[in-house]
Amino acid sequence: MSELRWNPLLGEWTVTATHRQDRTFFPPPGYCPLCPTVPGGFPTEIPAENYDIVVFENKFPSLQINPPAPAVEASELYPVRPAQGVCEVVVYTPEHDSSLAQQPASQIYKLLQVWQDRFKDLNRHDFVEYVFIFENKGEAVGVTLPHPHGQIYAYPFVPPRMAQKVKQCREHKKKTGENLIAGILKSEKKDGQRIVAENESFTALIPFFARYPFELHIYPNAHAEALTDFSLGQLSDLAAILKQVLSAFDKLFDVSFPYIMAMNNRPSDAGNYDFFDFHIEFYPPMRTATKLKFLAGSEAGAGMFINDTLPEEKAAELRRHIEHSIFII
Amino acid sequence: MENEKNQPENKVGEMHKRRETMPDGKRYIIFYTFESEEKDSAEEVKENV
Repeated sequence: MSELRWNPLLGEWTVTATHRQDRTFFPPPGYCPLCPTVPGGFPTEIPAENYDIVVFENKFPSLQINPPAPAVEASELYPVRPAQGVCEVVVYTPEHDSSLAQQPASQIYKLLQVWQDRFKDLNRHDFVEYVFIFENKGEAVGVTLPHPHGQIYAYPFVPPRMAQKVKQCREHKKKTGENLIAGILKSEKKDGQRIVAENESFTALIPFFARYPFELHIYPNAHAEALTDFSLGQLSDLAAILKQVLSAFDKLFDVSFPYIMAMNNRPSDAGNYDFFDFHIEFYPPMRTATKLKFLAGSEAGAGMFINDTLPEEKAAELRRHIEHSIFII
Repeated sequence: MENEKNQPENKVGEMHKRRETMPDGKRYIIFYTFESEEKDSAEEVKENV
């Protein structure tokens, strides 16, 4: 059963997707559904002996292009909608024992082009209002398939956190005439303490207001509302800075660093979003080599984050692991 | 720091995609490939910073 149920207390939708209880959970070696299908072997989700980057519809989707009718009746208090949308899986590489951080910048550059294409394609559905590109990495954030991959959810509404950001950006522009992300970037560059890496097109930083110890944001140095606004040269710069920060994450505690990566693009409608800037955010759960940050009483119950660290100090720690490399062709 | 010549884009050609129906007959799958593809032979040289 699957439907969208309205939460009148928070003014937002919840997806019920009971079929997801049966999704693949840490398959044994040789049975990874994201590996290539080898002759005579286990038929994976990918019917090819090799591939570069592959995208397919999730077998256990939260949202479906042709969703079933809701199994419950709606009421005035509890509106209900079909769970319409698209859920895609993006497989970054055929290498099972790898990660995005371990990929060469050239593979990250290819992935950025694939993400651009998916963003364009999914925005063409008339029922889609927001395309969310993200990655969950590591058991610490609930990943059940370790093969390097990300996901894309195309929602039939603008999800609450994005709607809040759009509202904040719109109000800031109205009040100051300046884009909020540009303002944050200007302030961070002036201060300098929280900058982690930068190149001609992008800046990576742990912001003044970070909620997680290593909450890293990547901002464009010039206005862009979506990933699709970037030229190939800018994508190349984005690949380079992603490679730098992901590698630095892994070096922090000498582990394959878990994180949630959230790509923030403009909503999908034809409205004016010139006040909004594309950005990427990472929410890593590790606060030390042996301790995780949990969303406990204050965070989960009150929506109030407590960061036990100073962003200035964590940015300095991360910056020490940034490699300033030249990729020679 | 990184001049244009040294950016990773230079070793990646044009993107192509092939859309197919998955063996379950319901879902789609898209294979993305890139022209002039080279396996990563990038040699990294650390700058003095």
